[in-house]
Amino acid sequence: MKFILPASSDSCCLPTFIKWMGSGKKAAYILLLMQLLCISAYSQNKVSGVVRDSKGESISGVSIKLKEVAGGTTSDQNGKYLISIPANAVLVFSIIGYLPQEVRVSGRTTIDVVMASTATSLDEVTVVGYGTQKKTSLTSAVADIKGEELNRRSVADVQQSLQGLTPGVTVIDGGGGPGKSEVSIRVRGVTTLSGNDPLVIIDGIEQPLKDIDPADIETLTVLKDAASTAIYGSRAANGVVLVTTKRGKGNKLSVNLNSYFAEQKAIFHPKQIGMEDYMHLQNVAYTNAGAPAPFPEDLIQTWVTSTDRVKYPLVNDWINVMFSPALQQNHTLSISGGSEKIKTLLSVNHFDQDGVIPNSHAERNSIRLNTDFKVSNRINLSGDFNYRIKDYRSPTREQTAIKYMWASSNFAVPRYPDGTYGLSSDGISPLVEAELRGLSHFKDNYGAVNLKGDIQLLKGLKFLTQFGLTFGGLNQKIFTNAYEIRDFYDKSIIRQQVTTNSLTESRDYTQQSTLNNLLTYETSLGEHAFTALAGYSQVAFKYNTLSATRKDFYNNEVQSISQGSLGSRANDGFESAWGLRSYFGRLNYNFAEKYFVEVNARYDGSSRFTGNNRYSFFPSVSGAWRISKEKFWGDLSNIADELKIRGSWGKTGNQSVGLYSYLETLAALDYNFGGTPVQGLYQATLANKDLTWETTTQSNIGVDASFLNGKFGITFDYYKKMTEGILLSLPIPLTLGLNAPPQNAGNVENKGWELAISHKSAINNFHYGMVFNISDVKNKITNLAGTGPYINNEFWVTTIQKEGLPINSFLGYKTLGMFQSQEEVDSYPTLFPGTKPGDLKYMDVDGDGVLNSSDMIPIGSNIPHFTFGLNMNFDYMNFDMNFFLQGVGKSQAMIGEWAGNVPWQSFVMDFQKDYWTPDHTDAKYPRPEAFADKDWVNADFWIVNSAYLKLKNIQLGYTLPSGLTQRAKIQRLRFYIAASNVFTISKVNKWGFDPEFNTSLRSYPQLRLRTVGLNLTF
Amino acid sequence: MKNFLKIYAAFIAICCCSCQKDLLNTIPNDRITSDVFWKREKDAVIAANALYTFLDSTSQLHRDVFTDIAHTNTQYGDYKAMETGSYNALSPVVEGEWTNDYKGIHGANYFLENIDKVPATDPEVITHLKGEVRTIRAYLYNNLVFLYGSVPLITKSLTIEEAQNVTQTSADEIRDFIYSELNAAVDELPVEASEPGRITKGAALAVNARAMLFAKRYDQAAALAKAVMDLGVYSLYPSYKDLFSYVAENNNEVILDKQFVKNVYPNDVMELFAPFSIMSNGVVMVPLKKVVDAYQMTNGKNIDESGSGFDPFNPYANRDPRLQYSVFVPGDQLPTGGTFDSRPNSGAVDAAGSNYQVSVTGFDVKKYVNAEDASDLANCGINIILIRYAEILLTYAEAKIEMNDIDASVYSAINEVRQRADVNMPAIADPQTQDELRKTVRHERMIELAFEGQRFFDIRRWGNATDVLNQPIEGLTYDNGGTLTTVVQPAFVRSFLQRDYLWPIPQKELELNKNLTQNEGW
Repeated sequence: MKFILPASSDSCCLPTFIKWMGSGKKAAYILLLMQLLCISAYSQNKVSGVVRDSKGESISGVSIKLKEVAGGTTSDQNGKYLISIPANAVLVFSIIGYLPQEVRVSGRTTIDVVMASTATSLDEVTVVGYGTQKKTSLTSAVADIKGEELNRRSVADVQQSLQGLTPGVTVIDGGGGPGKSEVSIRVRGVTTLSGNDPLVIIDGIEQPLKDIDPADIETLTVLKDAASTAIYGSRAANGVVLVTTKRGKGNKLSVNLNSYFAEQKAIFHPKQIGMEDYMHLQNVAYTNAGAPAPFPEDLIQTWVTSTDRVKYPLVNDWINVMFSPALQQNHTLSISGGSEKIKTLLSVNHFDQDGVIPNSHAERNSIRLNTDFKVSNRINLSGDFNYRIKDYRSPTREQTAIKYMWASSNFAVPRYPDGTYGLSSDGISPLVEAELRGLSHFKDNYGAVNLKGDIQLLKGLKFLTQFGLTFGGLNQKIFTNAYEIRDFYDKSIIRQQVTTNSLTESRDYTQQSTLNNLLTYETSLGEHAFTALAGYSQVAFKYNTLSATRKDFYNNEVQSISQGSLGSRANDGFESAWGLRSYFGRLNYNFAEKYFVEVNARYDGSSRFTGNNRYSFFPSVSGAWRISKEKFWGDLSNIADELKIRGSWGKTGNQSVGLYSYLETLAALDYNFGGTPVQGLYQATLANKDLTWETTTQSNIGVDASFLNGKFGITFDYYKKMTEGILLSLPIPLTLGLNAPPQNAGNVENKGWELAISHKSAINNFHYGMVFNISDVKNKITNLAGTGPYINNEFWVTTIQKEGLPINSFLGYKTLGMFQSQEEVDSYPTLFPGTKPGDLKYMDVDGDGVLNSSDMIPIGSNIPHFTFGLNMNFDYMNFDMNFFLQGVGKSQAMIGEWAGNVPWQSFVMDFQKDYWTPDHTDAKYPRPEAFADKDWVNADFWIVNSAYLKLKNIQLGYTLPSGLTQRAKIQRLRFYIAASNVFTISKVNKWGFDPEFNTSLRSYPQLRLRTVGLNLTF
Repeated sequence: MKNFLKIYAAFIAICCCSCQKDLLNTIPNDRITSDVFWKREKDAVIAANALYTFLDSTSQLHRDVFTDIAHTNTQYGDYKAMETGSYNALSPVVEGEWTNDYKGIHGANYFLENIDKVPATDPEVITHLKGEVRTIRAYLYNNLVFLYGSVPLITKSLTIEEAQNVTQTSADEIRDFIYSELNAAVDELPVEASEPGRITKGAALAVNARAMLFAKRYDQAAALAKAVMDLGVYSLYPSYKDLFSYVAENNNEVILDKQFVKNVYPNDVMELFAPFSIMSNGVVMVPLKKVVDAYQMTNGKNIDESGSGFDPFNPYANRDPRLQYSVFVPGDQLPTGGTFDSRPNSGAVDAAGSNYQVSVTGFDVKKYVNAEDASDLANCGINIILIRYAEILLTYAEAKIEMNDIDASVYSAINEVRQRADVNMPAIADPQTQDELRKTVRHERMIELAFEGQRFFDIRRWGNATDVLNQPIEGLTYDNGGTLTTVVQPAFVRSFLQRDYLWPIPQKELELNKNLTQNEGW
């Protein structure tokens, strides 16, 4: 394999060196080596100078290196430097915060350099809707993230990498097994009761972000306010994420390899109660319930001291049985390069993740080919292709397996010496769920084709057209096993059995085609500059699915649908389609790069609506004033080199409503007579012809400032978002006998602020940069059209939607501690008969002397407040380091199920040891009572403060000196080690769970990864 | 290369010109819109078929957990909350029943409003369908009026505004409506069903007889029951043992049932009843000691009567055969093979108290527990009987007794039930006073119809629910090393207050319709 090194390489040694690499002749080698040494020895020059910034201030800590050759120095406190170099060398000056500069020595001995700050770099552009804009001319709230930021953490889903990187973007990482990450992104709060995901546009077409290879991302931009999102109209109410993938650059060929291996470990290690404590606690719990104590003292002693753990199994720490460290690896190889006419980038990725629980695994392979053609000076074309396939598997009953780790699994031998599975005294084993119940296999295909062309029609007038097609589908194969578990001692007894196995296979297919046509015009008249955009877009979506089921397979290994019994065969399927047609435009005007005005508008039509509601209009307007550009600013610019205030207002929409809601349709409700199936049809849901979009109106004011030549930067935004006409399945009287149709009712308000502060500087060779961001949003349902409240109960957590409260507020009882005496019990209403001292004292809120559901009140909310991130980068010589802290300042979680829902073997957690007894009345935990739910109904007692600070990631890298790597024709070789989720500071630590863990106890846990990796560039 | 680029450019040009005209007019092809329906006779049949799904199914059997003969075995949840009295107008059970009934009623109203649009090739088919739908609607109203008392009487499709303003109709008027509707249906329906499971004249009469018994309109109840008996098409199935198994499906005793078929339209009765050893899942509903003790000895005496011959150490010998056909007791054969043993000290899989999933009482229901369904518990194809001839005989007897119109037909109706071929219990004492006979027929209903959901209605209409329900949860009495020990579920306190005779009107309904008033005590 041959690599062509940059033609611009002017170092005298290199060309010869390369010649040698090509020839391989030994004599020549020796000769050349000598020549090499000679050159180095005899042509050294000394060069000195001062490095200054644009204001003439000296800059210390600037790295001065020889291009392509080892060696270098750093400017001192006065910006001075001195370096010995070959006569014809090229010096590279670099420091964080300034654009790097190359200077050819050309025999000079004094070279003074002026560095341009990146903060004031007028050329820096950011991606906006249907185009790009100079950062300085932005009038709206837009955050952009460089691809490299997204590659710092070893993640299974690139969405996890977004966490904490930018204010106003809340990423909730709910764990999730291999291939099934449960990550949700919320831009500026929760705006509606359903469908809160932002619109994700990758290279101009809507695509899922989830499985994209992070290494393919050049930039990721989050459009937050309505001024920036209104151009996406009806799908933009939840913000827009724009992703631009990498493309071929330059005329040289470049090969990149990014690889890492990581060890994954679950970070969810709640402490379970010790055996003796558990047995005593159970005795108390049973006695409290009026039942005989199950563990006589002598039995406890026998049990505790026994060495026969087959006969006397432990109160198992199932975490040790179920969880094991697992390997994750990721490799991306990309080749890019081209000529004047054609530039291309080919990237292939392989990702492989083992699960930390048995039988879970994921593997993803993807390929991307992005190619650009320059047809003429006026015409450009590009064609991109991306395809990925993700194979993953998990236990069919994964959630149950995880749930059973925490509940009802005590006193089980995981597996007996002969391999027989043990069951707990509740007849349960998480291992059986994970290993014996069956496996599910998934295959997720996704492809995207993206064709673009643009033509310069006149000076400043450009026409751009784009056609994108995405397609894909998920194949599922869900198998449930037949099995039996025999008693270890008496094989004639069947302890557990499932006699029917079954297979459900499903295939679905999704296809979305997008057509974008844009006309852009740019002109200027003196200091007046205009740009205009007019566009047309259409999206057509098609979906279909087919599934088949059979049962009674010959054994659990024959997993082909044809092998199930004929009598059990069943199939199902449906299809759907929707379309979107849009007209949009944008007008930008600025005067002297000082005053900016922008107007956006989009006119969207959707197949989801009918009649006059089909089309809707989404306008926005914004403006900015760069105060620092004013004359009066003058010397102030020494302190604040950039100060801009922005303001925006706009409307966006959300069309997340079921299809055909406006049509009166009949649902299938089949029956049978005498065993013969008959068709039945029935009107199930009321139609709503008046259905239309949810509309979000958002106002935003913001400030961008940069100080001391870009050493400090600050961005602040305050916004108010009002979503009206939220699509609700507003309850209708049940006597109507129909399901409620979605209706436009209900308003939700979000008010919030975002702050980002950045700082970068250097001390000698030590360069550092840090970005701190924090944001908060207050959410409130302001209107439910006079209806509600809506109460929902999922996994023992009751939530309420009610006017004046945040979305999904916790509903429950207020507690007044625990009853301390029988007199106290007798003198206060109780929720349960048989309440005794040591039980929770629920408050009779309405004071009517009766405790019932009307005493349930809002007791909290799971909406996080003050979410923040601190991202720090350091580099010193060849070392670099990234340190990333992330957290939530205020957050609540309801752990009612955690505390109690374990039917007979309840009280299995260590914290439950501290329970109330007449002798221990200041206990943390109420009186245990077997079979009773008195103390763990939804109550503020079980709301815990789940605020946290996590060291999300730490990475240490070392780049081999280029002098060393050059010899192997390597441009750059960097090794790194990293660890994620290193530590967590949170009040929930004492309850033993992770603040990001889903309290339903059914989720695959969050992980800690320890990574070793390399970046290699030829 | 140039050519390629030209083609590429042309392709893109085509793309930009292709404006799909129907982009925004997507027409669903996976559902039927109502404007294309009601065009064929077949449509009427299809629409009527759907309404059968609203009839009770295992939900009817499950109601017996709110009686003195059965109990909710699950530790937590909505049914337990109702058994312990800690439920309210938000209860999913309360709301679920109401919702299902009104959905079916809407479906029936919608059907009756549109049926005449259908061009009938055979007017008789249309008439029959009308009768079927009327019967289903009346059946649902009978559930509503019994459970909630005065409820809105809705006989046509409503708009949201109308539904927000409907008022309650008195229970009496609803019963009048049920009576007249079913009388109309009787005229529309055939005696013999065209397909097994379709509603017949007999079914309409029987639903009406039940409704009138519930309404305490005994003369009408007796007359309707008599009309069923006089149809001459119903008789008791000779084997009580097989009555709830596949071999007996669609036999002459079944007057109305919910039809099921495996894989296509299955029920989950096994998950409700089957012993833990069969299903490896938590048993949902289990019998109580009271009913097991209530089965007489084969000599017709109660077990605590002198001379009954009852042996507490061998308690299941020489008992009314219906016990062994209805309840799993220690020593029974399981349909999957093996022996059922629920004695707490047995170490067996079904041992009471061994874990929270097995029956807490040591008894499991045997009706509808069939070997055919043991391998796939949520896929049972067995039909669930909603009304059978034995109930009609006992309804006839009870109505006559309440009217104090006691004659030989009363005794023979009761004895006919007791003396089914494989039950063959001694005839009841003759003569008896009205009070004695009332006790006799009530006992017979409890035993004959155990776990079929009728006990739920019976103890409420007899007004003795507060007495019989506020009792401890007792199960099996077993030989515990020479002494007799009775299994008791600790810390389970049942509660049934006067207010519980009616369920509350669902909270959701009250919030949306200010014209409705909540039942007393709620």
